[in-house]
Amino acid sequence: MRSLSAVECERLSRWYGDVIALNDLSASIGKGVTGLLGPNGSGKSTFMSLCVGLLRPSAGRIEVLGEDPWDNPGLLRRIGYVPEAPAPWRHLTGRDALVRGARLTGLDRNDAGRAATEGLRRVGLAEAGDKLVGAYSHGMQQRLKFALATLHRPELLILDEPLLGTDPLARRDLLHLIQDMADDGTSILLSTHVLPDVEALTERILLLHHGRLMAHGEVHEIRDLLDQHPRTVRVATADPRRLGAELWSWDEVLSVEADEDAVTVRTRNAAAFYARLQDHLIERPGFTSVTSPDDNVEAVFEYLVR
Amino acid sequence: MAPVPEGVGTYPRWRGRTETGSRLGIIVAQEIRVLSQNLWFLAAAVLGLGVVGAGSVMELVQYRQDGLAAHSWDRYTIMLDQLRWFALAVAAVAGPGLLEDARRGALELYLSRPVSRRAYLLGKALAVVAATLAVMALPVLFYYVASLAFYDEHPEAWHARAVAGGLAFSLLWTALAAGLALGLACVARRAVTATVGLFGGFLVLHFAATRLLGDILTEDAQWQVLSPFSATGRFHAWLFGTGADAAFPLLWALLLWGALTVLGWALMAWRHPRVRGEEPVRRRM
Repeated sequence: MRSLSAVECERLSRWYGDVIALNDLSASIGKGVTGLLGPNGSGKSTFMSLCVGLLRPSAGRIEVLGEDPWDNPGLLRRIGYVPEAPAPWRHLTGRDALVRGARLTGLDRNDAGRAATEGLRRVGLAEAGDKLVGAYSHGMQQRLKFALATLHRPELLILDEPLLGTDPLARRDLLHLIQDMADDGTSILLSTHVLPDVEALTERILLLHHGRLMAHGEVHEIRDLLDQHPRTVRVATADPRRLGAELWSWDEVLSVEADEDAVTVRTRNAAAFYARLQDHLIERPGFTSVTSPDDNVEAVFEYLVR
Repeated sequence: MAPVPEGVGTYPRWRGRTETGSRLGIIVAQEIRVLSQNLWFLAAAVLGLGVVGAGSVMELVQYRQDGLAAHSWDRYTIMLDQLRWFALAVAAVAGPGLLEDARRGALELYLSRPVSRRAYLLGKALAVVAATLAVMALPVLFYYVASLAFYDEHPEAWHARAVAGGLAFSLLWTALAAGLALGLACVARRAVTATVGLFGGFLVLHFAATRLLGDILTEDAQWQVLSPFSATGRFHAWLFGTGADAAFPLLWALLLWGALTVLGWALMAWRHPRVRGEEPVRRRM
């Protein structure tokens, strides 16, 4: 199993006694940003632990950046991992924690000091660097963990619920940091059960539920697979009532609602509806946008798990 | 995305060197630093080194100032016996650091770095061994230096055996205590269970072997070998040439010491489920 994917797994399973945490997962996660979605207990953290080599598969295989992650320190030089747990080493200052993390990663004493200073600055903790980690707020600890994971400039960054419990400001800053790394070419695997977090970063998602892979791909691709469910399309136009009346006669349309500036349509055959709508709108100027609220990950998730 | 907020910098590329060697020294240093902030550890170490170690050395010096011309093996071996309980306490507190790592997230951090599982376990073990050994070995060295400084006359074979024998005895005890402390930490669910289990287990066994069985089987003092403390104490006779009328043969003591020591280290090497990737690394207790 040789691959250019960031993560590739084949029939991967992990169980603890009688409890199956991850069940027969086969997926290829490409480079770039991928969101790992699922409710609590869906197997996200287990999957990430397998990616970092913290756990050994019970069955199946996993490769990360083309290598088996189990007890593979060489691979871990290329990976950064932000665990869900609170920042460790609460008795150290933020700076000392970063120096220690850098030394463990392989930086020599001088470089570790420089990397720690740079890491603190990057995550906005330069002024709090000499405070004890135990005195940091949750948001500051999340930033510190992010700095710890990225000191060595990993090729792949794995983030387990990095935004959990953060305030809006910390959330915004962390999203910027993640986006910044992605723009710089780092592949990112991000787990969350807060769907808009992922939506802000990527369209590419992997959905887990009860340890099984439920869907994998672009948000809209996944949505297209679900055409048995009615899909909502919103067309903003200068004359919603007229457009609504025209669309109501179409076979593809299940229902129509018109408000002041748009028509909201529910359709069972999105592809056919979009094709026909495109031709229709070309002939009638005055519309401003066509959007589908169902193309967001939250809607997809709702459809898939319920 | 909106512009980067104030105070949050852009992501730099790392252009420096990275070492590929073991991170063993860093792990040991980190663990000793963590231990030095544990009050129970400090209490055991300070009482061992300060009260027993320094107290014995001061007593030795005091005897000389009171006019005693020569010192004896007795004070020295009593000091070693007393130090063993404090070294055991140090090991019992330090060993469960393996469990604490899982609870505090440090294990997750270690194992997601370029640190092999072997290096992690070895680093933890070396830290526990170093702390335990120090409580016994440092007083041995100070006692010997004080004896040279203040006495002209020494017991028979003092120069040949005091330091070498004292260090060997310290190592024997350290191997047993640290191994069992680490081994118990790998099978226990809670740190306090491992600590109390080790120290309490030694106390109970010692009391049972030396008192209860002694009272029941009054003619048979050889049951004392069932106490790890008494069993390893038998090494005194062999190392320092004293205690020829010991209650049981040296071989028995050696067998018990070997069995317990191997058990402890084997448990640590093979039964740490989180290090072996058998359980989630993160653990809430």
